[in-house]
Amino acid sequence: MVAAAREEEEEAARESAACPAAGPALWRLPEVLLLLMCSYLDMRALGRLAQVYRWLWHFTNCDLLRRQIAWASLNSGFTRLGTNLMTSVPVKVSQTWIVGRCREGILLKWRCSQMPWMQLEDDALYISQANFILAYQFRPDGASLNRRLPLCAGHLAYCQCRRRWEDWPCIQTEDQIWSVAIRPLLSSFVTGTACCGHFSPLKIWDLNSGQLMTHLDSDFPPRAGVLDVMYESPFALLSCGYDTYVRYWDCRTSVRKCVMEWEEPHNSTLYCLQTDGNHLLATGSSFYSVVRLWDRHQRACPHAFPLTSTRLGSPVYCLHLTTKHLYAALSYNLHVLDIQNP
Amino acid sequence: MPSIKLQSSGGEIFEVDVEIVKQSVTIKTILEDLGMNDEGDHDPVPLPNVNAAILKKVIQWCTHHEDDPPPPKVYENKEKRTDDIPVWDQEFLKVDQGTLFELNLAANYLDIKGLLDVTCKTVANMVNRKTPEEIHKTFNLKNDFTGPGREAQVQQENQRCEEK
Repeated sequence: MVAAAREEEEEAARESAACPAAGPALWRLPEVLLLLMCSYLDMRALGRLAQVYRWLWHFTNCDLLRRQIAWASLNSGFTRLGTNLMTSVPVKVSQTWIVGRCREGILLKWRCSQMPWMQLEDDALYISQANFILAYQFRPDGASLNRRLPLCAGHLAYCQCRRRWEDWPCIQTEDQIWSVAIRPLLSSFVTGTACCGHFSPLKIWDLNSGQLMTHLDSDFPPRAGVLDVMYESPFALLSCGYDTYVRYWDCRTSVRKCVMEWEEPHNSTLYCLQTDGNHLLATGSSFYSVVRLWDRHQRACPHAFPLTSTRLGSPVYCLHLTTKHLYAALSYNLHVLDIQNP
Repeated sequence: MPSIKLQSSGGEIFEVDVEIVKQSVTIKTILEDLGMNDEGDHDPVPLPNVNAAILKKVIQWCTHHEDDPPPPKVYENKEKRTDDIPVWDQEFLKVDQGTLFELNLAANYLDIKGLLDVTCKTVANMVNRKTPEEIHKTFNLKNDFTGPGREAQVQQENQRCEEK
């Protein structure tokens, strides 16, 4: 049986190399024209076409054809600013992001309530736990953890970080700093503060001199603190916080007004946000520990995933996205939303 | 108005206004390269990849679209529509599949963007909203998925695309 399956795969590989020479008129068209025709098809039509003929299955799965669909999809691994390589698999998985189906699980639990920070690098997860930073290795499925990795902990890690920052200027924000992000060009950074008595909780500072360069907007109400901020490009930022809005800023157009904003529909504080670099936004809030997926083409949030059954449960303190998974850290546990295997 | 002679693959000669056939970037380039823009009797321009029947249809399409504005620049990542084919083009392309594909080939060879777009959209519309079985019948394709479960495997792979 294994030999027969292998022989079939080899034959399919030989067939995929060239369009069938004989047969219906469709085959007389060169591949460049077939590509052009298929570029007018959506994912559903391509999926159905792939089921018609073996050669078409190979043809409709080529990266060149899926590129345009990936551009318009959510979290397909294709960003507006990068030249990401993509395969047909992330594009198909991105269809699941669009419909919002996933399987939820818990990766980690801890006893004491935390405000965890986490970072993903390749197949490693770094997560803060009080004065420790723990590192874990993901299993290949990305939905479970393998083993803990050795890592410096506590005071030693703090000293290492401090040594790098010693030569950098200290800034006085006169406000509580809740979030920081460094500009990709490493020339400046932005702080999100508590907005206590100040007209803007978002300020941009020169990284070398520590001087205030500008602040974003001046219409924030008091206490509209910014809990998360991130650079999407050297000129574009995303922010969210107590005033329940996600805002998209483009410093090239204006620092007085955001380009776009999305309102959390349950008037709940937004604690964290992530983006796929294209059309998808993800936010975490405290109302039922909801993770929301936003399509930037729309004002309304198309999908919401409550992670607890408690109305005023733990906020979602930190989020991370890959093309197949979403990881959300609450005060007692780390959740995973598996999009690839819903 | 100056005219130009076009020769099909079978040797038939078609005399057409120059401004009409300049919608073909291929012919326009030939005319410019050979200095055939001025008045006078010139040799026919050979089009070995286009037969008489198709060339006649192409000329008919170009004649109808003579006064169309230049096609706008299409950005690669802009969403492509297939529901905007003009009514006249829809009627013009109510032909058998062989003729439709020959027109598509001719539009590509002659580099007539407008005709290429509408023929591609027309073929795409023949696939859109059809089940795999209907696509089989439309294009007279034989299902060649062999081996136990192979077809089911492909169906499952593409199941995500069917979800709403």
